[in-house]
Amino acid sequence: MLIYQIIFIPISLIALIAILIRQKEGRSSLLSFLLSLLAVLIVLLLCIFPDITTNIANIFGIRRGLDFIFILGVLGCYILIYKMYIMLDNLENELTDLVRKIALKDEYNEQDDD
Amino acid sequence: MTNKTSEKIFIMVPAYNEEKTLESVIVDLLDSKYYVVLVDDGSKDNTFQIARTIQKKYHNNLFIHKHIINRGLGAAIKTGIQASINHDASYIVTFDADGQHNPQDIINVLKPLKDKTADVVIGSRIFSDMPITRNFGNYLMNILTFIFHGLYVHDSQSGLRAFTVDAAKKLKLNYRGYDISSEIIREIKANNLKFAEIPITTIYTDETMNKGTNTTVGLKILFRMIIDSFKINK
Repeated sequence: MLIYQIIFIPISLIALIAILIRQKEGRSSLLSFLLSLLAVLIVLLLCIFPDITTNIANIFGIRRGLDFIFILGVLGCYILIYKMYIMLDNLENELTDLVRKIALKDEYNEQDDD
Repeated sequence: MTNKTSEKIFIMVPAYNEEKTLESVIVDLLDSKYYVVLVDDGSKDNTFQIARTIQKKYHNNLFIHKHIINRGLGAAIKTGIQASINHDASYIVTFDADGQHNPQDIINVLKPLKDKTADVVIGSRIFSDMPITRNFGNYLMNILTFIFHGLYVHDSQSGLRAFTVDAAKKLKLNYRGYDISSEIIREIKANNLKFAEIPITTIYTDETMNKGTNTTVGLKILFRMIIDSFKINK
């Protein structure tokens, strides 16, 4: 058994138990439960059968399974950053709209107190 | 002289920490009988207080709006344009508060609008008069604006622009920073607005050199244009 299998298989099992407990206690929605479950099962599957990643990688023309996972990870991070940027940008726009509404509503004229 | 009959010319001045130059810029405009909309974009210095003091003398012609926090040049311009529209402006001119523009140029940029040969006029600074560090950056921005928005303008980053009120109403502006200049070019193209460029003079001082489109701002604008080109709903 390889070192990463020794590390990740127990972690995945603990995560799996935690997800099931959260669902049982009704603390997670069905969608987040299913997505978390899927993610943990994929990690578990890849730890137990590491050759799967190589087979998938070969389909995409990448030689090593680990490279495939690494590329997927980087790609995932980029997508996440982009989504966060868009979300932050939308929040900034909403804040600006609010500031503008206040500015337009409160036009200062000579009669106002400073 | 310029504000005759029923035509209301509104000069929209966005200001952020402009206490050194604001008074002379605003008073010049007000003495020329223009209506002035000042948008204080959350200044931390005495910009707002100076504007209020000027307003005591020119209370019929100076309208002040204050962003409670700094939101950027683009946000201030959008607020100023909306305020001018609310005051039934006929023409809206954007004018920098740092003293780089000559008020005499307003007459020149308004002329094509009054002649109905243009809906929007961009005042073009003469690049050969510009310090070399600015010259290259602005030229690059013209090319990038052309690549991303499809309209070549000789000075896409100019702060002196004039709009008919109908044209101003059509602009869908969302950029908050200096990228507003490129966004305005995009909107001119998107709305098929008649467009003219008029040469203007520029006064370069330490104040004017410290603001505007430098390399960092240019990179931010480029980043924004790239990101925006991926967005489905602009």
